[in-house]
Amino acid sequence: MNLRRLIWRRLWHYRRTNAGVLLGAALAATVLTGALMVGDSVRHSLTRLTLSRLGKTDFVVSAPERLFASDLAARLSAGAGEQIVPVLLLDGVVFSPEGERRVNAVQVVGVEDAFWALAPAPLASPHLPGSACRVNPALAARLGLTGQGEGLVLRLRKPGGLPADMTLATRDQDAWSRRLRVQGIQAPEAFGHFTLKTTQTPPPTIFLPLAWLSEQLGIAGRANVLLIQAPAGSATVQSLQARLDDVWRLADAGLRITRLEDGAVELLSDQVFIPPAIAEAAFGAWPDVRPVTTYFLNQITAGDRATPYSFASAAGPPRVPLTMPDDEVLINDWLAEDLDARPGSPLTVTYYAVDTGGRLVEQSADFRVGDIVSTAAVAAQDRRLTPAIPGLSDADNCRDWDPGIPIDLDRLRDQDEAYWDAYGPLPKLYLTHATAERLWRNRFGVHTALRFHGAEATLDAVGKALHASLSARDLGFTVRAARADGLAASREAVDFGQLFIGLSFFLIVAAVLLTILLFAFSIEQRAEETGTLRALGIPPAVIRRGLLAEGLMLVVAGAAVGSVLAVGYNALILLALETLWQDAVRVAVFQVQVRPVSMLAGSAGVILAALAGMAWVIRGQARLTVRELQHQQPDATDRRPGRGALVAGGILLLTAIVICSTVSAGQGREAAGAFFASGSLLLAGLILLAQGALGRWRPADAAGGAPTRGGLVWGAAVLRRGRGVACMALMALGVFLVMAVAANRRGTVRDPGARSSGTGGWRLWGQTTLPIVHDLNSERGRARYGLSDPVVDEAVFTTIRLREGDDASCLNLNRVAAPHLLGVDPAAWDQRGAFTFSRLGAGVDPAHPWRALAQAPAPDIVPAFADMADIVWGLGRTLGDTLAYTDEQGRPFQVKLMGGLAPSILQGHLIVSEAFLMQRYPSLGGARVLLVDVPAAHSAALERVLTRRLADLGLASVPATQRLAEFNAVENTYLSIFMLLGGLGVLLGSAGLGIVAARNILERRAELALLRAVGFRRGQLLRMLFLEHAALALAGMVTGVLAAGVAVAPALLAPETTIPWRGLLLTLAGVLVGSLSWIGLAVLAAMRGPLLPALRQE
Amino acid sequence: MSLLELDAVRKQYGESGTPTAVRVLDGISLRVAAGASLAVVGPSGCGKSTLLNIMGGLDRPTAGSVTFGGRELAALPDEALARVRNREIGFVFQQHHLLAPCTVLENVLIPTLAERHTRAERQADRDRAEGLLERMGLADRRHYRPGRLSGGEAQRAAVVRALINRPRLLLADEPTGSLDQVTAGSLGELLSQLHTDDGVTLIVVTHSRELAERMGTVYELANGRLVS
Repeated sequence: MNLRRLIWRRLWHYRRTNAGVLLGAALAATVLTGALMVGDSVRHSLTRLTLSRLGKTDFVVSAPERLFASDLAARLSAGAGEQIVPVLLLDGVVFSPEGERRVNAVQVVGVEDAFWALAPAPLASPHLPGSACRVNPALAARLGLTGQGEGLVLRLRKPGGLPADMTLATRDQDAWSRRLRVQGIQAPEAFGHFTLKTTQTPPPTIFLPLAWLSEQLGIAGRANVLLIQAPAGSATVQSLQARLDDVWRLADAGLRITRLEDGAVELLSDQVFIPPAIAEAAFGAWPDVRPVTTYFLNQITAGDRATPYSFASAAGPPRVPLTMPDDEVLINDWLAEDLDARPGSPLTVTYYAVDTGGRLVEQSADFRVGDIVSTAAVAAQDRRLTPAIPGLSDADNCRDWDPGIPIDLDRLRDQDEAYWDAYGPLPKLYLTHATAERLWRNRFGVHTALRFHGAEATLDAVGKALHASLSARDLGFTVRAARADGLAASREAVDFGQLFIGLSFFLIVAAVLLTILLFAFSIEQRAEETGTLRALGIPPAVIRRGLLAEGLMLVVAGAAVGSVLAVGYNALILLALETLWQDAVRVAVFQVQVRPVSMLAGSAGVILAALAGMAWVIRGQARLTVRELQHQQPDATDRRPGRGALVAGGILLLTAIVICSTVSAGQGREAAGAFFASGSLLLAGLILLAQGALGRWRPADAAGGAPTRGGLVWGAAVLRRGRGVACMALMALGVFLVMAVAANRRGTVRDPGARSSGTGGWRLWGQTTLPIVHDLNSERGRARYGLSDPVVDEAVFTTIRLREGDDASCLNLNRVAAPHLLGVDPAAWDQRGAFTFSRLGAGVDPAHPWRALAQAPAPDIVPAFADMADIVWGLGRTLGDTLAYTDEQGRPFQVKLMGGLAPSILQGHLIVSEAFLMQRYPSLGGARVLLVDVPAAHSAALERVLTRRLADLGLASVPATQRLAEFNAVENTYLSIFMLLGGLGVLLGSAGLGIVAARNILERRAELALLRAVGFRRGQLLRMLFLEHAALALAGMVTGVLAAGVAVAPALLAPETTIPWRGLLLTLAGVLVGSLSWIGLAVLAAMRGPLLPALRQE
Repeated sequence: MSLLELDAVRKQYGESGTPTAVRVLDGISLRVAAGASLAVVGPSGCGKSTLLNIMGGLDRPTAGSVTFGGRELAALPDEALARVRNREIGFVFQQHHLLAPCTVLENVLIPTLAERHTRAERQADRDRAEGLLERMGLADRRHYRPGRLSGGEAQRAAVVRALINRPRLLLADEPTGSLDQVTAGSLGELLSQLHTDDGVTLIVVTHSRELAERMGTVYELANGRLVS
């Protein structure tokens, strides 16, 4: 005989109870390990998707809002081992041929054949002849395409034109559309999931031949992205950046240098204005650089005469003497004659400028004529003062002008046409640089040309000097470790393991407690044995070790079973996430991933928790004497315990009442915290009071010492009050948690028009694929989009610029590094009192939080707000944290999180000041997000009109309440999961009540037999026992409901809370029925068989 | 030289001064020589079992001292006390308290679990257990579970278990209390025989006058005191 044998004997002998312990451990391990596996599976799936969307791409070179020669790929890869592929990446809208279906936000990818070699599983590389395209499954599904030969219409904005907000940019003419033939549907493993965005949802994508597409768009031979596959360890971001610095050319930055007649070299930009960073570098690169600024004037007036539409130039010396005062201008003799002006004459110029909102604003300035210059002389010496402006400088006739600003061609006179015919866009007016800077500096720059003078000024020398003083980064080129970043984003994604541990925490706790409870009963059941062993001199440590070893074997076996079951549980959860709980993730891409380390971790967690509980139980038994153990009941004592519990319970109860009475339920977040705290105190207080009451109060005292039936029940409860109160507390806590969580469910907004609500008071949310460049609140702007419907007159539009990044909303499971930026007008939003803040950072005025967006805390820091849920879950940050961005000129800057919004329609974005956004990304032309104020009654009609009229822009609009509801659905789904798993936990906890009941009855069989012997009927005993334990269940539920009612009082009053009464009542009813059933079954099972033999045994 | 000495042993349940305080033993002094046999008789609830438990180190007196083999039991830590009980004292209870999961032979060997034994020692223990079982007429029951034994057989098995470690003192608490008269007589004879043949010191607490008379000395416990 040895200890091991004794353990085996006992394991087998008490196999029924042990099976319960094992099953409890198995259940806990299933849920815990399953939760960890869900985390593994989601992470694995996201990693797989990352690899699927990037293929073999390791690095990405891009230049936002810029096109470069596609041969940059060849220059960059020369002599190196990388495979570098140029791509033209654009956004477009796709229509079915008859226009009945439209897909917005389509990713348009212009590719060469080499692109397909980077696919995860490059099949036979599809060759795309001109106008043929391939689509990915996402686009095919949404268009209803089934395969080869079908047609579609693609519409997009021509890239490479002037930024839409530039004064002279043509705002509409860069839209492009073509009918295309679908060659096939690209399989997911062959780049059907291609995207450079960090997302688990592949965007609808269309692939076109790069050469054909770029030619069609008038940008032949240009691309905007390079995909790089680098042999392992052969390249880094820094090494690629360094090589890019070597190989870039001026043309890659949209710059060109030409030689002027006077021998100087002129630097021009495709974007009209030379970007400030480049201008600054050019001034430093050459000793004699003379800037030129030429601008378009709407009118020049002198007295009662006016000359329409002319160019003015700050040409510098020799054209404009350095000594000329800033309030003087030179005019050519043609203009002097036209205006009848002479030196000293006052004149006024009017011109368009663009405000921060992208609106054209006509401004004017007054001057005095300093002198008159010869038109012919200027024309002979320098006809290139005016830069190339599409639609203007390239027109043969001024009647053919089509600039990006409103002009009235009827105002053009014969002499204007004659001037154009003779001199073209030759400026008529000359002013100083200081004046030009003051009037016309804008976010794109101020100089329209830079002229390099000097004997050494050759094209080659200037080119080299510029190359030496500029880096690729200055030109806006960025190199990104796409694969590493993508993998990091998926690795650091929302931890579904933790999430599901949290969601199923109560279920896990209930299962572990049940395991411990069963083990405790098993230990109690053999107390006599333990007593005998002690009496026989077996050292207590050996006895404890033996019992613990038994427990360990049971929980290890249970955990092993649970680990295996967890695979199925994991699969079930993933299936539910893709179907039943689809609102939480919106994708169906999960693959089961089984990692031994998670199995071990889950098992270890359950084993440790259960063992700790078992050790505690064994330790408790070790305090009993041999006599107590052998007789299986404590020695008599007259102590009436519970005084401490009553006092502590009373204090907690009083504290809860004091907190509730001092905080109003409507006082927001603080009130919510206070009420939750008082609810928790109430819960603890009531449980302690119950424990105290069981210890102190005896019905027999109230009945003058005469025994009563109630007294019998109460007496039994008092004798085993530890078990009873533990079960009651478990029930109460479970009900409390389920109710408290359910109360956080968000429903539809009660008052969608309330500006403090999650809609901000706006009725409609819209997002376009192509930018809105006209002012929708102006008659002219509406006319440009054909918005002539009467319902539009009821609407006020708020248009918001969008800098594309990654979606930071809860719909993106990846950890996002650089979310979308929305540029808003802080003053307007402050005045509006839009949205409600969940939390504000230090230094933000709670009375005017939006104003904080207008104040940069430091030069390179842009303040931002975001949804609090995005900050915590999507970004994994807290207030005060910063996110790294790179601006259009390649300069890094930080976006600082200054405030967190309560759930709103802005989820997924960072909100910054429009002014800061435009400062960082001047080329962002037009707005992409639309918020509309409109009377509720007209909301649906307006939505239909906008969807129809702005179809070409790819407008997707939804009622703001619907957008909010879609975001809330995510949170609500998680709450539903918690309610389900929590409800199961409570149900399982209620099984504990059944076990307690069974155990109590078995221990009291002799007592019950006596009651039978003295005439109690069996039915009476059954009823008595049932009521005794049902009272505990009810007390637990009532305690939980009361405490939860107090804890969630503020949520009940919140405008966006909808308590799921039906689900909640069903859960509570299920728990009640479950508890009573367990108790009923336990009572029946324990009372099975004749009782009187128990009396004889006694 | 006394094997067991009790000096002014008192035992009280409940707190002094409270109405429910009960003094069970009231200054008992007793010397038991090695090889002696004695019986303690008395009415139910007079404290016989309490006295026996105190003698065997299963319970501690409220006051007074208990010395066994020259060692003050109250001064010993739990582990040491357990070792004394295991190596030097054998217990037989009114109920046999055999472990239900184990066979008769395994039950008999339970006390050997207290210390690590070599293979040879284990074999010796087993041989001794089988020898004792044979002597008690239980050889053919050694692989039975307790549930299949009669009351007398179970109690005899409990006696064998008490003897397995060759104790110097055998304490029996109402060993025949749950047995019929014939079986009780047989067990009484067996205990006497063990005392006579093996020289084990035997203290029996019993209601049974017949069993008491088999012992060398009989004490009566009344009002917390022993009367010879």
